[in-house]
Amino acid sequence: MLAIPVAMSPRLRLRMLAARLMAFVAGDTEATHLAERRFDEITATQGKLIASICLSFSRTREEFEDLRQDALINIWNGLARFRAESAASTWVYRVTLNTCVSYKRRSRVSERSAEAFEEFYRGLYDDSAEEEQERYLLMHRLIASLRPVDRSIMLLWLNDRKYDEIADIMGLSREAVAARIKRAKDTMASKAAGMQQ
Amino acid sequence: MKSSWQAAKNAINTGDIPQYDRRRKTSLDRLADRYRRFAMLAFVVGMTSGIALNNLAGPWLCVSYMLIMIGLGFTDMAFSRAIRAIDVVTMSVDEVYRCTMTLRRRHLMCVATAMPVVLGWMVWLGFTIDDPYMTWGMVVGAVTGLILGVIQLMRFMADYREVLDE
Repeated sequence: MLAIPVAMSPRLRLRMLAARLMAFVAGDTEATHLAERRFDEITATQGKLIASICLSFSRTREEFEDLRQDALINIWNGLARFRAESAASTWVYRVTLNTCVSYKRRSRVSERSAEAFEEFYRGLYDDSAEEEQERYLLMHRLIASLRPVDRSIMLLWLNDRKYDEIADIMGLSREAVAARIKRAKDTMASKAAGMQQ
Repeated sequence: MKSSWQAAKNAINTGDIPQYDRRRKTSLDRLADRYRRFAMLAFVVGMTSGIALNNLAGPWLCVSYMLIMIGLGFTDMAFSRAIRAIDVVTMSVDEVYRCTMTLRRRHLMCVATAMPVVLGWMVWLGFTIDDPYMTWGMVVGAVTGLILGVIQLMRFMADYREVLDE
């Protein structure tokens, strides 16, 4: 429960206490309301970011839905420990990426599942032109071909995070981040050239 | 590349955030629970059927069986605790990834170590029990286990290759 401000009349304090007691008895505390509001704020502003990160780590539609649910659960469960020492977006990146790299995949992906996922992926961009869909799909394939740590770093870089912030989220040195970004870009460029041939 | 990514991220249409159950467990929670269930099973089965085995096959087989099951139980408990120690909220991505991969490798190593021990114990049991019905039962079980075991072995090798690749 939040502390009641000191500079307040006794009558008002009593009323606030009574209101909180009633809310507590009703099983719904102010803290929960606040957490829910904060969570709704995060999902409203960062929802697409969470989805795009989870998409980069998914091979099937079921994995994508599972990952997204897990990320949201972890964000909800971790809200109580979020101290606003970093920006909310940085924290969301950390939790979502951690959810993705620690996800235990259930089974190998069949060719039919891979095709179904490609179709599902195109469906996510149904408002975009076909040429743009191809470009997004190529980008997704290139990012998905990277190892999980490199993929995480590239996703952060592509989202305009600074090197220091990436290093903090990843738990690596700034130099290691720079080296991995360069290596990942080279890998993606050579794979893109191979795909286009 | 950045502009393409930003365009892709803004164009994505995933619809409304789906309804979710806050009591739902994440994949890590489910994995930890699975290890804990297997640990409990190993302890319970080890104690109960171990005692029954004493009448059938003698004290040495009984004791060795109980030791194997208790060992496997403690191994699974250790895995369960290690998974629960992974904190996706506060740990860095590299740390979470390294912990996850270490646990996956250790799991595969444990399976690779335990399988020959268990198979060796079963062979010892087969030679000790002087009962044709029991022997035939073990043969049928072994054949069934072999068929299922080949499928599990293929999954194991696929997991192992994935872990090596990463």
